[in-house]
Amino acid sequence: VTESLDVADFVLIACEELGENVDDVTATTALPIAHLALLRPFEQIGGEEAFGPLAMKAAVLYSTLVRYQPLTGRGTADHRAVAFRCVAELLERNGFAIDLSAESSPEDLARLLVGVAEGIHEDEVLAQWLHENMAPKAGR
Amino acid sequence: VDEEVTVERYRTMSIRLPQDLADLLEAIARADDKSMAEEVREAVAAHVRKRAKDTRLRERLEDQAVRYRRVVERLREA
Repeated sequence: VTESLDVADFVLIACEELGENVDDVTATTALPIAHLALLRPFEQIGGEEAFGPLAMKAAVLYSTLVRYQPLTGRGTADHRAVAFRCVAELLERNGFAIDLSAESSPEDLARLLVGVAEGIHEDEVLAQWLHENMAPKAGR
Repeated sequence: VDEEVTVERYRTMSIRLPQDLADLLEAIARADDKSMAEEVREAVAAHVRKRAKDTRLRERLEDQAVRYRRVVERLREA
C-alpha cells in the first residue's frame, strides 16, 4: 500500500520550504483544495488505481498541486517548489529517493518540472524520468 | 502622511459537515465565545502543530531541503 500525504504534511512541507510558521501557512492555504490535490494520485476507476506506479502517483501529485495552487496569494515559483518538495516526501515516505548524482540531473529535473507546470510535458514524461532516476533508500 | 495598511491573507470557503459535527462545532464556538470559523482555523492549526512535533518528519524535510536544493533553486529561477 502506498503511503500518501495529508494536509498537515502539506502545510509542514510548505512551512519548511517557505520559511514561515504553521499558523500563517495554515491561514493562507486553501485546505480543501490541498486535500483534493493530495488525494488525486490515489483516485480509483472501477476499483482499480488510476495511477498505479509510485512514479506516476508522484508526477500526478506534482502536476495537480501546481494546477490547483492551494497556497493562496503565492507566486508560481512557490507553488512549483512546494509541489516538488511534496513529490520528494511522497517518494521517501514510500522508501525511495531521487538520485541526483549525475551532474546534469538537477537541471534536467527542474526543466522537466517547469515543462509539466507549463503544460509542455505530460505527467507521463515526468513519471518516466522519476522511474528511471529513483532508487530505494538505504536501510529499506 | 504614509498610511499603514494591514492586509490579512484569508480565503473564504464553505465546508460541509455532518449535522452532529456542525452542532458540536456551534456549541464549542458559543462556549468559547468565538466564531465557528475561528474554531475551525484553530483546530486545523492545532492538528498541523501536533504533526510538527514528529521529529522524524521534520528531520527528513530538513535533509531533503539540502539534498534537493539545486532542483528547487533552478525551479525558482525558471
